[in-house]
Amino acid sequence: MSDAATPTPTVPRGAGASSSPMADAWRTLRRRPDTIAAAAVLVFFAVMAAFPRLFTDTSPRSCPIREARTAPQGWGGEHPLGTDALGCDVLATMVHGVRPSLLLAIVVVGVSLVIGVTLGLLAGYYLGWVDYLVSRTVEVFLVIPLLLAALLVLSLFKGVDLGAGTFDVILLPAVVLILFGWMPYARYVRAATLEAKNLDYVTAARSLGASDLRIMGRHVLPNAIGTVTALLPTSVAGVISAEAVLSFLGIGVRPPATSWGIQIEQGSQWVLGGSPHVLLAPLICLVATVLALVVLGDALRDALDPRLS
Amino acid sequence: MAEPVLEVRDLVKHYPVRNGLLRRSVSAVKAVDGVSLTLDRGRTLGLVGESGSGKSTLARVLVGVEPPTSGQVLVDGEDVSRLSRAGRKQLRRDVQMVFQDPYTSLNPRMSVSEIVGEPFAIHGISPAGGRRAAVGELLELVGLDPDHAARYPHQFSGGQRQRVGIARALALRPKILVCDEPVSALDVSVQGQVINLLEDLQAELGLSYLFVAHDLGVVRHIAHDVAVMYLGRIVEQGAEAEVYDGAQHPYTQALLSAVPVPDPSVRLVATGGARVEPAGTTDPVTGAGATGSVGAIVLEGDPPSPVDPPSGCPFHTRCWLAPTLPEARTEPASAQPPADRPDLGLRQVPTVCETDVPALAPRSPGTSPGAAGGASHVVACHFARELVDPRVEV
Repeated sequence: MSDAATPTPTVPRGAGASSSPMADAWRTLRRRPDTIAAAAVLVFFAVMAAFPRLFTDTSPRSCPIREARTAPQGWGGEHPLGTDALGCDVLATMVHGVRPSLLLAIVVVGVSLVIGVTLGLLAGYYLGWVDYLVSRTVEVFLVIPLLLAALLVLSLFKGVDLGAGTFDVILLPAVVLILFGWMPYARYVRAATLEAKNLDYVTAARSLGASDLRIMGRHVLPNAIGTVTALLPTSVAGVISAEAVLSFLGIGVRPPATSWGIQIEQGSQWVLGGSPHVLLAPLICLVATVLALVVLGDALRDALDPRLS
Repeated sequence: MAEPVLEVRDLVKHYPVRNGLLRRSVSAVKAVDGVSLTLDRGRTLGLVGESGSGKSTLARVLVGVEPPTSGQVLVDGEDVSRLSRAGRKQLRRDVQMVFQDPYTSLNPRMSVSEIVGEPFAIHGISPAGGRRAAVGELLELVGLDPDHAARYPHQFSGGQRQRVGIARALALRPKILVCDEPVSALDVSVQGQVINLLEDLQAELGLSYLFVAHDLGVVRHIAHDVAVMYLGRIVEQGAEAEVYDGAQHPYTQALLSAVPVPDPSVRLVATGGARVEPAGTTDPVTGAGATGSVGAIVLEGDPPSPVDPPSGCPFHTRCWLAPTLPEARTEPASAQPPADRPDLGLRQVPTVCETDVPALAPRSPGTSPGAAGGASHVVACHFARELVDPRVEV
């Protein structure tokens, strides 16, 4: 009975081993400096989205064409980051573009995730006709080109006044991107569910009389969601750049609101024309955001997996 | 005295094989094909057999994870299939399972207290003294420190994890534990501890075990009765001593002869596979001489496909005994066997083995001088007899 008397000494846990997993997760997160840096970056952009006036006094809509493509003048100048091809202040455009860009990314990724995870879980768990329906739907959506679908949605909403509120300006790109963004999550979750549901602990729960809902929620999903969390930060970047393509068709973030995607799209035309700053400013912000999300996502996954903490 | 707590009557579990565009069921994998057995209160029934013989499927049907195709499962005289949904849930509390692999049977994202306490949550039971105390008691019962309840499975060794699995199975105070190879994934040194724990728990709680295993030594140690499965059927069943010392079915004899003997002076000489003379050439009195003992009986080939089991006795295609019998045909039955069964009639076995399914029946005790083979020892073989020299020590 010696194996029962002593715990394995291989994994010593802190004194607070009895605290909740969330508290454990927080403790682990705190100990990593890269996590703190990533969190700071995200907080910075969140503040920028909430209070753009803190960062610039210039309106992104005042675009004197004679000042077009001014080089960055540095802090204190009239145009710290210069102006773009139309004479709009780059810093002001960027600062005011944070809110629609991040909001769009969060809404699109969040809603697609919920749809994809739900459908993937149901398909993988029940198989049969549920799986048939979900899998065929995924395939249908995968073969429709995004741009074609975007044009379709555009024609559907032609002439509809959507208003200019915070959510109104991102409604069209959000609908298109969610409609064509949920499939990867469904496929990943379905595959992971297929793998997890045949493990013995699921059989054990079933032999105990657990309901399907309980088995899916407590046993299958927590073990199947891991692959998907790694996908999220890059999806955010994908959404922001895809929005730029949509705005080219006129169904991106609705003007006069601006976004990083539009700015990157326009800036890329002047990189070799002597004004790389128009592209670089929003691009650096996008890369910083995505990197921060990657680091934070990694840390969160490690912290929530008891095997790695 | 013997009061059956679990009765299985003609249990059949077929998995349909679907094919073609319309997903029609063209045939079936006959995983369990008409099994009847009885488990008495406070006793242990060992279920042995090769991989693919249907042991684990039988176990899964018994705990209610898989529905049977036909047949009855009676727990305390109540037919499980006739119960309502609520009744079945109640019954689940009576039959619980211990799994083979302690590394996949515990959810890695749940702490031990959540795992052991889950049965209470599922059934909405609030045990006297609170769930926390109940989990602590259960952990203590299986020899774990209750203070470790907040740990996660990966922080335990294999043996400890298996104890957690046993604690979970015991939470609802079941009458029957179905143990599906509970020690075969463990270190040999830990196997003994877990087996002893199971025996202690049986004495303490009056549990009945259905103990599925392929390790005949372990089964001999823990089981009171033994049933041997081959291709979804039981071929021999009886009290542990009768089956181990007086095995009458050629398949059982082959299994027993393959058990390694932890004694270098007893060398198993693998001779000529199926052609081994069971009577041996050694002296029946002195036993293991210098030239060795009865050779391990090596069966040829793999078990036949359960989709299309052989006609007659399911074992006749691999039986080592049948070709040596005087009743065996001296030449192939037909020069041209049917196209769908090219193997039919090629082995020179008695015709009856190919045509008639042997029933489980007590064999005449006259053929076995020492065995006290009562009606409880049943064998499914037309030519069942003991080895003349069953020198198989386990």
